[in-house]
Amino acid sequence: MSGRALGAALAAAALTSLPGTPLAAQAIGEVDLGASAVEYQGYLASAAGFLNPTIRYNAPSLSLGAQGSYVLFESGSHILQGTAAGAWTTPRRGRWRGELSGSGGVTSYVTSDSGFPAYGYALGRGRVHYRAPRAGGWLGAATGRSFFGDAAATPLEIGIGAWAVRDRVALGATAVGTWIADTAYLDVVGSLRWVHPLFTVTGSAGVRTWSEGGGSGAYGEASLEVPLWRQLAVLLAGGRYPSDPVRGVVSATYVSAGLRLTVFGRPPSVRPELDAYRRRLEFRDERSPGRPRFALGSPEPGGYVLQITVAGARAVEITGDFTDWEPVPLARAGEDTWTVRLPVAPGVHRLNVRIDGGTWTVPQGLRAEDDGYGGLVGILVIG
Amino acid sequence: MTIARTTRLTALLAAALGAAAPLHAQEPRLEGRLPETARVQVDSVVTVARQAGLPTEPLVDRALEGASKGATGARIVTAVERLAQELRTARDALGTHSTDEEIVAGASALRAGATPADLARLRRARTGRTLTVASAVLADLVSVGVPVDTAVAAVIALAGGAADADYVAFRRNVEQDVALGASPVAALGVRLDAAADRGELGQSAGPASKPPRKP
Repeated sequence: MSGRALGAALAAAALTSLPGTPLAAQAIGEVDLGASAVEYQGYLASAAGFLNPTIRYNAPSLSLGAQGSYVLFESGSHILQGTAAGAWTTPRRGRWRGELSGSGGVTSYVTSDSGFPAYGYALGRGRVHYRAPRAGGWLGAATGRSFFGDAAATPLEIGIGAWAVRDRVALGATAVGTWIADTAYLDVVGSLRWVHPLFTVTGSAGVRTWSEGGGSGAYGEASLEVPLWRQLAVLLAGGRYPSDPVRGVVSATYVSAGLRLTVFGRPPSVRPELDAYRRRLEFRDERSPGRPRFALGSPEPGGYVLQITVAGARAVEITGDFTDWEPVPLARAGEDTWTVRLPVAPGVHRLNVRIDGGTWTVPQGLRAEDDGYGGLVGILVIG
Repeated sequence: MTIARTTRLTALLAAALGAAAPLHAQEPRLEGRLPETARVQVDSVVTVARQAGLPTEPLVDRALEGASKGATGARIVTAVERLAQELRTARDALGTHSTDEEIVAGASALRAGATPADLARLRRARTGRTLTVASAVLADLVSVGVPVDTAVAAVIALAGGAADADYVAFRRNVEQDVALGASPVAALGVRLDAAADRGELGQSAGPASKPPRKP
């Protein structure tokens, strides 16, 4: 479980550092609480309880995270762990962006009758990300120091990854080679995340190969998160994960069940990014000649003011059910703006717009629907 | 049943039910706008609809739209008959006390892919409040690529707490997000998240309508 806690903290930091995902500054505090059955490699199976408080801070180019973990085994032994991670992303150059991050942690395994050397690490990492609208990839390396008691080693990780997102499903694949002391291995992992309205499923499957001293074989994990309420979710997880000598994780097989309580903050939203992109799109649209845009004004005596914005037009007409489908000319109200006040009642209306006596079209800002006559008609809803 | 047979059946039914009312010249707005044969047939459909308690203005409007767009008489009659059937189905799903505007919006939602059962669920979820905008937003969401079942769940999720203006803003935001490259489902999830933050999700939302989280 301690290894998973560490992984979760690092994954959180890595997620928030995805290039091209500027997030509003936000702090999030969560606590995971639950029980598990775990069998570490070389040990007998044991029941355990865990408590993992986490705090994350996300800003457009900076993310910070810290997590504590307390795991109590049925023997009375316990693990105390603290980890921290931070990432800074460079300004974007086209679809490319760099990332510099650091992470560190200390793990102390305390038995009832003897001490056990603490394990620690401090790593720095650099990555170059490429991000397309729904897919991307990265290439990076990490190094630093790993400690186990008085012994220390300098690890090196070199990896490459790719991801794709489609609707509710995200797929990822990574290949990471690790060298530390006399141990070396390659982990190839595929992952899936499926966000259903009722739950979120996360799974991964991997294989460790080309190993010298790091073990080998297949492994995989799956987790299920079911939101019960905005601040509370049920977590179910199980599987087998490999050892991580860089971060002091012993391989294990486990099943766990618990609750996630969001103490403060909310998961980050992509809204700021979308808002910024929208502004750029609107800026572009405003300068697109020949593309009429519809806007509905506030209700006034005599009806609503209907506005069409189009560049370079000499005449603009509108027709719809509120005109008995007779063309009505709009009056120029500005360089590219045309308006008309018409008695439009609340409800669903159909309309078309014509520029300079051309074909009847559906302006931007309205849903287009098959008109049943071989063309399209715009749908205007007035509540 | 073919369109022609439907038309004949509609006309016969109109004649049987509307003996006291002449079939011709019922809708002065149609005078001079449609070919005479088509005008008579549209009049018949309108008469039947009126006797069934359905809104008739949309039927006349649909005929005028066809005329203004140069459609043939047969095509106009077909379009009007189709709309009449959609209105009937929507009214049956939404209930006999529904307003004309609600029925028209419900018909639009049916055309977008919603089922009568979806409309009935929406009615139950938004008891005592108008469905006009909610139904129209449902159709709008489907038109931008949101799967029908997802759109229905979203609209119902909002039903208990959102005002009409909230629905309009929600629809606009989702459409803009999609236009910006977001997947329709992801955009819906983001906007439902925002709606939840503002407390616009009603009690009817329940766990089934929890927004999807971002991957």
